[in-house]
Amino acid sequence: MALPKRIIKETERLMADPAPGISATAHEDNLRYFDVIIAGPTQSPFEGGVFKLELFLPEEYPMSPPKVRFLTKIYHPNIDKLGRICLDILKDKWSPALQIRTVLLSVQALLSSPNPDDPLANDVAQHWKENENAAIQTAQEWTRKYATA
Amino acid sequence: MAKIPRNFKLMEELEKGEKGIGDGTCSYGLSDGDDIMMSNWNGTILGPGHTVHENRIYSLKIHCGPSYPDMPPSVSFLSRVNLPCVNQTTGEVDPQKLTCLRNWNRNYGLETVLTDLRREMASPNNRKLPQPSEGTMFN
Amino acid sequence: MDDSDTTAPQQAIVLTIRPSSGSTFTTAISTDSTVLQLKEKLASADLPAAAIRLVYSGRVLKDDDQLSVYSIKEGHTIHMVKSATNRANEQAAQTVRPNSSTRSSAGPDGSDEQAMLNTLLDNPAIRDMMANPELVRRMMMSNPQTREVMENNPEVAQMLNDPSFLRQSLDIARNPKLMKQALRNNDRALSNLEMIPGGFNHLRRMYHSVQEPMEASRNAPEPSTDDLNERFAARLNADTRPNAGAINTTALPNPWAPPPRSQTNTAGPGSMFPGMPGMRGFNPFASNPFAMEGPGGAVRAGGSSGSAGSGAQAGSAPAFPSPFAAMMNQRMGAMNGNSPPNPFGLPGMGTGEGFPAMGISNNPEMFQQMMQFNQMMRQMQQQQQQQQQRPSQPYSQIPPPSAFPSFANMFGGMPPVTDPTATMGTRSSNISSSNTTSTAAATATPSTATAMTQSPEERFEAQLASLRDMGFSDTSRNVRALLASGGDVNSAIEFLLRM
Repeated sequence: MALPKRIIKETERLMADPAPGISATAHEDNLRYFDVIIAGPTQSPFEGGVFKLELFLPEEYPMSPPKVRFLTKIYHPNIDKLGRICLDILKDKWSPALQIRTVLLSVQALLSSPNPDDPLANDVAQHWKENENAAIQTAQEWTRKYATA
Repeated sequence: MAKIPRNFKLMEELEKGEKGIGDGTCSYGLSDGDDIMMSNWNGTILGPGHTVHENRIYSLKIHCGPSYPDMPPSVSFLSRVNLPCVNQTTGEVDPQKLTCLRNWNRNYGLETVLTDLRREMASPNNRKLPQPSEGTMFN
Repeated sequence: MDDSDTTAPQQAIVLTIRPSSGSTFTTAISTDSTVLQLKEKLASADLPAAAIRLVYSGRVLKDDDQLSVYSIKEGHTIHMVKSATNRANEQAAQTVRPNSSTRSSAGPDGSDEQAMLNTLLDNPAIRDMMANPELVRRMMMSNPQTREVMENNPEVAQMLNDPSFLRQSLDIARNPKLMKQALRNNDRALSNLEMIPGGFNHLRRMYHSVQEPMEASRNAPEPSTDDLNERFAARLNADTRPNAGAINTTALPNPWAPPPRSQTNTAGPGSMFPGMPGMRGFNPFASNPFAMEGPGGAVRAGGSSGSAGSGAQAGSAPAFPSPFAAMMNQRMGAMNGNSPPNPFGLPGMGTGEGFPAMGISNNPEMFQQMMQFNQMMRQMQQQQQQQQQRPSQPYSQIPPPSAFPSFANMFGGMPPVTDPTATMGTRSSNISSSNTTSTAAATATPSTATAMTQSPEERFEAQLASLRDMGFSDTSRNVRALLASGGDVNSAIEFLLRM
């Protein structure tokens, strides 16, 4: 049950030198399982929101990507109703050179720049494409409704 | 081995269920596609051939609590079925009477439960048990 | 979200339909169609829409609902079941179980064997028996040959005495998809092994040490008169009629399960859906690049050796069906197929954790055998690697990404030789050095002097920076790792993690 050195190092660094707007805390009873909080980026419809996520490093990590999911409801074309994230580096573009920190920074960046052309939540993406302003407004409402601590 | 947390295990099970598991004799999915905690599930079992259950589809509900998969899910039949492990008033499956629930381990999943119940239907003792007419439900 | 749902695009999606008998196929339909419309699309002369029931994600679909109600998505599977209303007619007419008769009549190639096996598996007596691992075990024990095998091979006994293992094997055997996947993994593993120089000899050696004793005892005269025993014996010794299209790589027949169906075969029993468009065999795993191929050689090699690790005994002798080895393969295959992508096949192999519920990890002998196999694999891998390296590559070229280091990782615990130059010139005989190291040695040997004039720090500047970013702060170790991996960061990480 020994934790690979790399995971220990990554965890230490996440604690000692957290990325701005991101916090990740390992569960005491499962050091591969992290509670994550990402602050909604400024200038985005998610500004002011505090989003909870969970992250798990599977046995094969770092040869396989971490598994990440939103626990806070969010109106975003690349995040579905169950919080699953459509992000290439979490799937086919994963590289062992990436790490927890880079993954979470990428998720944060995804909040700033939704990509309705590569959707996971089809209906949200459609809304975004047809009427971006309205979609952004819904996203702001959801942020107020679900993501304020 | 890394110990997979509840939510990620359920997510895996969900994705497996959507793609269709095994030979299609059992099926399961979330009852509420918005439920971020993935607690409540539907299941179906296609009655095994050469038994009184043949060609019947049984519906079930399954609840995965916060300590799943360390603790087994609770399982109830919605469709009426006459089996020793099923409470005949409520449809609840008695965890002491179903092998996989009694000897639960966290590598099991919803599929294990459904296939075990189906096996139960096909067991020599149960395959000829008189059954209520198809389509009747527990209340 | 409700506002969003109403604006949902009405697009056509492709669904997989899995009938309760016959092959799966796909159909395209718009998500705003009703369930009834889908049924009408699926109906045929033999099967009117009214007799079709559709099941998705644990729910029986209601005729009036739109498909979008169930949030069915592209690529998902819907189960199609004949309505019970037909049951009376069916039973009146039936002498054999309907789906087995359909299969045998429609099977173009070798599927009569499939049908026979299905019939056997559908036979209530056999079903009941299969549902009861304890009974299976007792039956096996009652056979003197089996007992002999068990006495001589404690590891086999261990397997047979573990009811959960038997039960799981039977589960897999009953599940054609898993079986297919398991057998395919097995095929792949075998052909990979055979392609490696010297691989065939290794396989043969393994066959002699493991498979043959088992065979020898099983081929002894069969005195049993018990009806069931006889039937089982028939299955055990069943001739392995090769399927059309499959060559010599056919996996072992398994007494508990349908034999390997070739891909062409899966499209076979189509009598139920004549003229259905796009009717093709569907393999749920085929859509999962990780399970089958994975990116690059690492996953493939790792995955196949995962199943080969236990299937070694079975692997060598396609002509001799071995129930035990085949069972193990399926177990392993199933693990590979179902678990998340695992580039190392079974990373836990070094500690035995890779075999939960198999009852093997606590059996030192079995475990040792696996380790021996690992070692052989490793030797083969190394030989192959040397072969590949021999046509001298320019130094700047990065060796085939992390395929070999990942192997090295799999067999962790071997002392890594940290000075790459140490193995230079002796690499052909140096078996215990780590693979990464010998890669480096192999690449370093033909390197030109000009490349060497640059210091490693300069040459690997970018890679060193990213390693530093990842928290590997010891530059000299990083340099060593990069040297060993020929500059490939991913392999270097592997190397560092083992240092």
